[in-house]
Amino acid sequence: MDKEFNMMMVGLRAHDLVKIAQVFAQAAIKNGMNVVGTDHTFVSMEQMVEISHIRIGEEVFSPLIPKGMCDLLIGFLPGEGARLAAEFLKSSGVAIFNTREIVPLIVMPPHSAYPEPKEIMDLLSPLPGRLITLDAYSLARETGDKYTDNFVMLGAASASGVLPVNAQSLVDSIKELVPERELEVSLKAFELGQGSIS
Amino acid sequence: MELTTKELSFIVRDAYGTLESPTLIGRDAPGEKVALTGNGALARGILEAGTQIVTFYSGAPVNTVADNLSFIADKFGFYVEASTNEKVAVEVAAGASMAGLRSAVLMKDLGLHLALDTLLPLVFSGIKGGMVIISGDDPGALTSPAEMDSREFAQYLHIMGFDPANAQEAKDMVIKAFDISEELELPVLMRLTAQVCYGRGAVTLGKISKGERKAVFEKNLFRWFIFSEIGMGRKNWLHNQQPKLQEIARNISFNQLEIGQGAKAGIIASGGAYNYVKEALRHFGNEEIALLKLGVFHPIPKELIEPLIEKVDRILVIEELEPIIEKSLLEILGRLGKKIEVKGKLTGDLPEIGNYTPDMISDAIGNFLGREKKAIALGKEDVRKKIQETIPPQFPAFCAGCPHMATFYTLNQAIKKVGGEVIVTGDIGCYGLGALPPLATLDNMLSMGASIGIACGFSKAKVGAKIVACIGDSTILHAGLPPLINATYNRSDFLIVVLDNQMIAATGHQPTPGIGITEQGESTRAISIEELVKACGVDEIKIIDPGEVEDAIKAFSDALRMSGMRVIISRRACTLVPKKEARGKGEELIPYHVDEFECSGCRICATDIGCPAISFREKEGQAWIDEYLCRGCGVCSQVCPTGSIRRAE
Repeated sequence: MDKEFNMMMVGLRAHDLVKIAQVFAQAAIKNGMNVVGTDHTFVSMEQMVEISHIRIGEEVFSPLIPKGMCDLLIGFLPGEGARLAAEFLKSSGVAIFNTREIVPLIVMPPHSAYPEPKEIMDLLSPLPGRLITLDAYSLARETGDKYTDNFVMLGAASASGVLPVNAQSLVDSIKELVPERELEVSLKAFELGQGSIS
Repeated sequence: MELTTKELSFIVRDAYGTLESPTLIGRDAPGEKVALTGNGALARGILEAGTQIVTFYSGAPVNTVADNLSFIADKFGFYVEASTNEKVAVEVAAGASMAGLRSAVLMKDLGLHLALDTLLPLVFSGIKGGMVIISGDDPGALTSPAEMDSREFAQYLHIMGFDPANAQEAKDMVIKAFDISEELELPVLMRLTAQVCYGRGAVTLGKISKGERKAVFEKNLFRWFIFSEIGMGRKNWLHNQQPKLQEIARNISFNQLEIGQGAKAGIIASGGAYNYVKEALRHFGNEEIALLKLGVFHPIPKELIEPLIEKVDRILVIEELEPIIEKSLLEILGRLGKKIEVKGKLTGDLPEIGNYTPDMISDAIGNFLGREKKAIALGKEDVRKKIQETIPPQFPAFCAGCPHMATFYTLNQAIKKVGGEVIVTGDIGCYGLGALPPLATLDNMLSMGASIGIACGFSKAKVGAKIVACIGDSTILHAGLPPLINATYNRSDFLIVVLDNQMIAATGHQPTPGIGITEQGESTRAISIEELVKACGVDEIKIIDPGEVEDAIKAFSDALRMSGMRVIISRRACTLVPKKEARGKGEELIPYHVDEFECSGCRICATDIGCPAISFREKEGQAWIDEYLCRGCGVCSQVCPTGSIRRAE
């Protein structure tokens, strides 16, 4: 691993990315790494944008990632992902985006309409070193529990090869932290996410 | 699969709270490193300190500390309580501490104001068992009506104030705070900023200490009866304790001075802001800096400052919210007669409001040192600009299927039907979103319970409009009853709508006294809001289900036409409850969908209700429901004029 690894995630509270932040952080600590991070938690309201920062390295202190320092950006919402990519992603960074957008209820002026996901991806393509896209929601559906899209994205991140912890560590951490009743579907979702990256 | 009250309580609580796994918080493995948030680490610290009573009123950012403990409380034999409000929470904890037990009380910064009424005389009597007051500050007011700084209250109360920088320190400090509290017989105030509460990091577990003290209250009127001369005597005692606070602060390991080889300039940093300083010094280097980290912000003994000003004659103070350390420093320097250049908020070098970021602090340190700023390696400027210009921001909205949304939709329809001007006061809770378009029902928000108090003022001022006060179920029990009694007794004239979603939804689904489940998930007697309201002198009370659209509109219309005090209790459980409950049982809620042949494209469902699951697709000229978000509440199907929204097959 390089000296430092910085990962950002953005989604709505509904995506429950706190759960995978927990899993990833615990896996890194089990591997003897130093972790700092934070979730911009907007209470329980599902439609609030949530941003999660996780940083790994001996010399990291700020739980917030400084601008231009993000190695991996996981975007549950393509639009918000693109916005963060513009400010935080390293030029060599990797972005993994869910293709399914949740369009805001109201588009405030000066904007008039929300762009299609395709348009967002096109905007983004000159930015990161590598852009990976997948339909996390459809994959989550296959597990029988549509709310497992967070673990689909974690699986995809794992398969991308940029995480400083291996897949087995993440699986162990899922088993350690996810309640029994959600465990099977979560592991299935993780696998489906892994399988979506070739 | 059926769920017990306790299981359901836990599942619902786990709905997007930053709940840690109970297996981590209660793990008996001293020395093991685990990933915890600041809130999780606080919970663990409370457990390791042998605390026997934990009370709180839920509020971000410390909202999940007690929840992390509630579900393991039985196992370790301590008690966790979601108290009615912050003042009561402090009193319950203080009672236990007066009787010799260790107690922790948690609240958000704004709640500390309410608790102050009890805290001020409490520091005169002091306590016996250790008592730690934990207050969560929210720089930038990301999840609060307003931002404030709890630290001023430690100064005001003459008690020690701790400000941890990260999760590990949160745990270490809370344990130390209990010891100090017992030594001084005074509560200790711990304030945490949101970034530290939600900040994640490696925490080394210590030994869990099961509190097994037996509560004994030793009667002594000259200590416990705080009034007039006795109170003054105890105030004298409090002042005599102050040198001990100074002594502890001089030697505590949470304050640390790191002096670089060629130190030319000084930085004092405290709490979460310290992390940003350390991050910036990775770029600027430590050599020319003398860095004083203050984990204890009150008191600040001059002996901590002296070694710093021997080395440097310029100091930058970095702390979030108010310039408290900066002012203390100026006072000390003034008394020492030292001419030192102090930079910070008061000199405009750092902002006095809002939250800090690592980039902001890096720039401030660069300016202070006269050094080149850290270059940010970003992609092409034109691409970044295009992205910001093209993508509209997400807009805050209610959760899909939220009962508050249905309440505001039906209230709006009734207001339209009845006609005339209406002023709607709001209160603290998820329903504050009702001020935003497209519903835009609420006209103000101020503080807990103020919807009713302000409405009394409007009523007595004769504002020439119908007045409606909107207040939540937990909020009316927290601070809404005194203004309600005021309203009826003094013959005000307005409608109160109690938005009863059967819990404290916004901060992570803590129970309210209205639902008959305790914080630890036990069944108890539910407090009936309708009976309370009746006892407070209201005769016109109606209970509605906002999900029954037509009936709700009629009830609101009737109530708007009446005069005197009248109350409508709009009762339906928070939309996350059926969602989480179904998931816990391994079931799925059936979403609604729009029939493409029947939808006329009128847009009413997409523009009037405010449900984020419904959008209007311009290309198709039709409404569309996102099945990922839809909870199947059915409100839109009742609103649709062509009957084209139906439950999916």
